[in-house]
Amino acid sequence: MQSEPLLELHEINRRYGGVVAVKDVTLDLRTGEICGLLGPNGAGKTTLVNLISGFTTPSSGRIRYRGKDIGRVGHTTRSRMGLVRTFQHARSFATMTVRESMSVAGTVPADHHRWFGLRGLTSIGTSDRTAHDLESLLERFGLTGWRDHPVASLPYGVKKTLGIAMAMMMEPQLLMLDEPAAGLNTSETTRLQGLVEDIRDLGVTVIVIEHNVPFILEICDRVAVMDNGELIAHAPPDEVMRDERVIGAYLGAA
Amino acid sequence: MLVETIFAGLFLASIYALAAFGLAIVYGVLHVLNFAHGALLTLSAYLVFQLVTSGWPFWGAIIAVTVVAAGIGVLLELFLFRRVIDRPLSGLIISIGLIGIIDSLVAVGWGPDPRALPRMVDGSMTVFGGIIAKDRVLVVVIAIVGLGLAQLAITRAPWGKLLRATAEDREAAAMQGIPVLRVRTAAFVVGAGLAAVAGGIIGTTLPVEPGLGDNLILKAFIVIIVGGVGSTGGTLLGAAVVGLAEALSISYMPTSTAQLVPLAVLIVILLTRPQGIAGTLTERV
Amino acid sequence: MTASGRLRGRLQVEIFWPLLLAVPVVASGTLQHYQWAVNGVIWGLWALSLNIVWGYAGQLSVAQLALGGVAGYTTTLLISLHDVNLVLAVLAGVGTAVLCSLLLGLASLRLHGFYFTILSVSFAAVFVTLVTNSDTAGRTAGLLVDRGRLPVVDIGGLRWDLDSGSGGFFALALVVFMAMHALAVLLRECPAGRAMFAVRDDEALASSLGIRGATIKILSFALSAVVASVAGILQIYSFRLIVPEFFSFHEALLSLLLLVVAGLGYTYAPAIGAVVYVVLYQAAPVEGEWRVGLLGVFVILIVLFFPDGIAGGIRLLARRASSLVGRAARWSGRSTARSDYAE
Repeated sequence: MQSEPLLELHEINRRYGGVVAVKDVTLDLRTGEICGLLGPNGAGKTTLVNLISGFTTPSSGRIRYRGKDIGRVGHTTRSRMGLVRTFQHARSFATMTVRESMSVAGTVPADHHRWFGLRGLTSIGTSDRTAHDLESLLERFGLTGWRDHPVASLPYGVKKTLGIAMAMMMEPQLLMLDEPAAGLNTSETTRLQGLVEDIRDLGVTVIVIEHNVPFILEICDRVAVMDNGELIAHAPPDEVMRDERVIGAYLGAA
Repeated sequence: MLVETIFAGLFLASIYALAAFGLAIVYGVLHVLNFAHGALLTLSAYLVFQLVTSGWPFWGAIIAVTVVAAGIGVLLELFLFRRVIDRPLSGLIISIGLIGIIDSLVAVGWGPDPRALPRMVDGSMTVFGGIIAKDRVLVVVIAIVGLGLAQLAITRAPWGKLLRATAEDREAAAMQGIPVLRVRTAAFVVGAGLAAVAGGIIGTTLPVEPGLGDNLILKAFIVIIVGGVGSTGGTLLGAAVVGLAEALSISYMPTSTAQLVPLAVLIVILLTRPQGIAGTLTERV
Repeated sequence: MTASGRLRGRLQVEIFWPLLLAVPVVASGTLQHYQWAVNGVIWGLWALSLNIVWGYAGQLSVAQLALGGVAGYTTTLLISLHDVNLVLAVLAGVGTAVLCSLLLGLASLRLHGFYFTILSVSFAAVFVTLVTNSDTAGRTAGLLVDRGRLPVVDIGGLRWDLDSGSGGFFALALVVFMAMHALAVLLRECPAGRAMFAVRDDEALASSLGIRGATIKILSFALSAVVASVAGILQIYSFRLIVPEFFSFHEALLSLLLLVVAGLGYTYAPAIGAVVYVVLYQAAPVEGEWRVGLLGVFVILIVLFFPDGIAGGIRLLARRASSLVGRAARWSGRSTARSDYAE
């Protein structure tokens, strides 16, 4: 277990005109932990994920990933560095099958950040290693049966799982899941919890944004709670549950 | 002569505005780039020519052809474009296919030689020291009055508001109880009708030849984009800008460079302010 | 058979099947049929160029013919004005077109969708205007391509006069088409091609998976420019003439029609487009002026009933056929066929 945090946020701010979406957030993430991100609607959770993944740039503050300042690094490069995210609304490649989508996600790990992405782009078919990774991920996520099914007609829950599987093809070190349980039924949600723990066991550090509080409390090592753009708590689940500000935020928003 | 140049600019602006207005309405409401608009314009010019040569009075011919074109517009919307309402690409291809069909009709009907519609009014007049042809003045007046009224109708009249609401957001309009499908048909009718009127009028000042619509359609695109997609007022503004720019450059530059000026205006607008002078960014750029 | 062995087998079929289309042409052997077939190949190449940049990468560019024109004029002028060797002139032509395509590519990073398409229209219009107003380029009358005689190729006893209208030039055009077609098939299978489809489908998602949209788009423009150059140069050698008309907006729309009707995005669509062009536009027993109208009617019918084009229609029929076969096999009790929804 490394002593240095995998991810450090230092006084991150994001302003949109007069509105402060994220205010002075400072937190760190240890390698191998599952960190939950909770908060009422509009608390700034997705903005924070956008800031970490690089889809938005901070108005001020520092982000360090694996010891390096990545403030100026674009989101595409960040994903190549192992900082991968999924999307809230099950984005997908509408004209492809499950296998083809996974294959696209596997394009980059094979070519090692060089030549603006052109090296390794000429190999035909899929390399044996990528094909193997693809099949084993499909199996792990229970998607083997859907392998040649067109993505456009997948059930919603399967689409979301595919999104996570595709992110895993990137061989991430830090995976951010944006509301992975939204739209899933109870049994699917339980299955998802097992999946997240499996992912952690594979050596990936995970941040999970969720509205589903029990989901978070059951699997997370630490939970970060946001309200009105501020980080109001960051502690193991039992402590967070008892935190007055947290209770206030949720009761206030209820 | 500056007066003559400025007037030439107004004249070009009028022609472009006449050609583009109907296209702007159809694109705004249906979000289909009706490439066939130019072909419809050409066909109308030929039909007006045919009627006038057979003895019809000019304005009678225009009215008759406009009615026919409007009817064609209804048929096109009901039997073709409505079927592909959710597939804009298919709509585009259909409109291109229509160009082919209309081109064939024109070629078989009248052959490749240019025809001429008699001018609406003969002679010339002197304005501020410049000599300008009377029929061109009439074209400018018709454009300003006619399109000005149309623009007022779109901004003030109740059905104009329906048109704009449907253009902005079809589903939201439907939820507010607007008969979206009927508005679409209306837009098409208006667009086709305007193409016909434009064809008839333009045919009196430019040669009626198979390429008439093609040349105008490119200018129509430029005018609509420069003015702002989704804003008919913008189209008028764009026509003024492009027309004047073109006339000024023809006066003061060699022809080859002058022809590039409208294109240059378009490229600059696309790269700096794609929503156009008057446009609001409803389309994702 | 291993997975990669199956893949190789399938790819070989995909790459070589268009040769079958050449059989009826060679069998009839008339000068007119050869000319038609050459025109078909050229239009297939225009469609192929558009397929890479639009079908694969999702950028509707109306400037492909203009790119071909750039290559054509560059090659012709280098040969007639500076006596450059044919091969070098062709390479220079292709190179110039690729450079111009980079401009387009850069523009595609700033503008999307409809706005980019209009920019490509203006790019093409600028090209046509420049050439029409240039004395060196021959204005509207164009230039004769009378220099640069194509070689006679001797392979094991067979002589191919590549300049000949009785098959030699067709053979050249065919070889060129097969090469470009192979490029398109291989591109689809390789990571760069997959990345293009991904960028077309959802660029944000693709970029979150490490795919650089900018690189991929520019690559697609450059590759499409190579194909367009080849099409343009073949065209001018076929007609021994280069005029701005060849690369006009009207003609560009025709290439768009052919590709969509054949099936946007499918690798075999350009070959199908070539056939459609030959059958409807050349061979059809109607008067010349009705040809474009006939094509228009055909296109509208296809688009109404087969939104995915002819290739899409074939795929639908193939799926129905295979599920019928599957059902029949199951019914007769001897199947290992998978069900449609395995879970």
